[in-house]
Amino acid sequence: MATVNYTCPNCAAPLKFNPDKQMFSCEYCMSDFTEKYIQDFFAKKEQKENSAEKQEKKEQEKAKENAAKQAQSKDNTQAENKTEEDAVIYNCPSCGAQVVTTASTAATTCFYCQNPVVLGGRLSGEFKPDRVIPFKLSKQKAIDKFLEMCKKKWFLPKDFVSEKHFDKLTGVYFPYWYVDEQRNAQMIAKGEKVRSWVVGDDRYTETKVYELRRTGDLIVKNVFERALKSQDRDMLQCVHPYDLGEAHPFAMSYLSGFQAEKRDIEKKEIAQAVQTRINGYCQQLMKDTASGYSAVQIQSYNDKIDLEKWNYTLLPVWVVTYKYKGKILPFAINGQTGKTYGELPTSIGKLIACGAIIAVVLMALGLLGGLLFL
Amino acid sequence: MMNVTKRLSAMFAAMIMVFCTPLLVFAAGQTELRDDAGLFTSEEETQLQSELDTFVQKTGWVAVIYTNNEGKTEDNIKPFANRYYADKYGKTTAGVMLTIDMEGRAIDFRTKGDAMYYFSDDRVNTLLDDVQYEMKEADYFNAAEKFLYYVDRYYDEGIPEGESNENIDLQEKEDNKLLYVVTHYGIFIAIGSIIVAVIIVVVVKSRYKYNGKAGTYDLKKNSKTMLTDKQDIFLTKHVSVTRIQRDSDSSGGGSSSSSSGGGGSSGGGSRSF
Repeated sequence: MATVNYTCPNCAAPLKFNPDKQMFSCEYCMSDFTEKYIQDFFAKKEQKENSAEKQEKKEQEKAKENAAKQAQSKDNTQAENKTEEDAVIYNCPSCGAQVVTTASTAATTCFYCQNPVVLGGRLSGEFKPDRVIPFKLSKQKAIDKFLEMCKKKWFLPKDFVSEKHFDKLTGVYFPYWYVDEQRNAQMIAKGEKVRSWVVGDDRYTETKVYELRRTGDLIVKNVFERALKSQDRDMLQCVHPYDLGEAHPFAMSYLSGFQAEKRDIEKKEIAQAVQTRINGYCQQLMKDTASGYSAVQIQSYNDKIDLEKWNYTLLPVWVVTYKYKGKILPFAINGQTGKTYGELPTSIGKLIACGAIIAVVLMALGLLGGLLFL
Repeated sequence: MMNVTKRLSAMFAAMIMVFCTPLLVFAAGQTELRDDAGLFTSEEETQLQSELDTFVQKTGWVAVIYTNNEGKTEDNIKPFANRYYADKYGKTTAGVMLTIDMEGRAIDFRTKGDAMYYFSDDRVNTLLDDVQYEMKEADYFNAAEKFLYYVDRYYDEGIPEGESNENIDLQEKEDNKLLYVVTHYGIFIAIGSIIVAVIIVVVVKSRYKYNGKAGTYDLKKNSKTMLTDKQDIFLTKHVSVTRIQRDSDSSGGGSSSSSSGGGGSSGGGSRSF
């Protein structure tokens, strides 16, 4: 499988997507390039390389035949090798070192030269995402968001916020399925309007019962579900919401400088769960059309799907996993909005002190209440 | 955090002291001879005052003889006397008091504080019998003398054991409300406070554990409804009537306090003459 190393068209140094500028930047010659420019540049480059690649493939096939004859000679010269743990080995196009990735990794960084490596084949063909939201938050801004969140958390242990955690902060594009649906729905429900009034010592309660009939088209958009098994579902779901209005048609170049994962969950695996959720949403929407009723109870509901669209989308997440007192805590920051997700440790001392203060204050208030009202 | 705890503890202690302070205001060992009804001659007053002083020096109690024309009868002289004593000497200050209402033709013997426990029902009745007898005979000075004789005698005899004390009307709530609240409700307040504090701590901990879990899908923002048919068909209507439970008429307020007149715990009894 081919690897792509997005290099600067001017100086051939590694090129990374800059979330602050929303452009591709070269850290060496300080050049900036738009996404379109990079797409065109690498498309032309790819065409030139294709003919050379065909020749190379022929040579490789010959070499494979020879290798089959020599049973023990499988080694590092191949572009891709699978290990026992389902890991895959690539050769870094910059330094030639071996890059070991998991089967779902689509973009990573060379461990030796730190240059970005995009494993183009992983996100092509049927695995090509429909769209991508580029990173909007730079690493520094993500760190700032994290620190800002920590400041608001009184019960965090003092030694929790440590600079060393941030070194491991990694920008990752995670794969998601997004579903848009249009349904034609019919609902019959029972609605009640209740009003009451007082005459003398009697309270009168009038209940009017209505049959509510509704027919119409419902559009539900952006119902999302993770498309990657290996990551904690809660983390991938709860790092939402994203503004899909800022999504771009997918281009491989956005991945340069970040890690990316390809999907390993197919539509059919989650279709049932997603449909169940959308059913619930549609019934809620129909119910919401019955305004002015104190109680609405659906008696019959049915719908049919008129339009359905699944979008395979890559979303930006800053991820850091750190150990705190022997516990491994994953933490995620939405790469677009800065929303944070992840279990936070608590200082037992601070919690006990807080509990004691609350108890003492409540006791004092209880006694005061007793003195005033008993 | 620890400083805050210390400060709150200090505030709490100060609050308790503030509430307890009124209990310490009144000093024991006072006498009062107030003859608003004009029953005693000046010589009699001098003698009675002298005996009161002697008694008070011996016992350290408060001793009061109060005659008036307030119109209190046997039925309502007790709260009046109790209130009078409490206002002047404190609700829990040990002492004895004889009240004579000439207008209402009633006498009342009150015991307060530790003095309550010296006077069993038998002793109170003996004292009242003799005082009542003298009052009926219009021998007011002797009535006061009998009062002083018996309180002095019973003090000397000490606290009786195994005798009925039904004359003592304990009003813990009025004597020391803080102590009353603490002894009667303190355990519930403490348990309730601790439970609430534990709940708050657990909620805080779980919010830290599930940091960022809420609000991931906004249905309103991501949906559109286009109705092609909307009918609200009226089916039926029913009306129910319920009687409003109102509090029963109060009978003049403070019924519980009327028994003691707000003067706290006391012992003793009342008679007419």
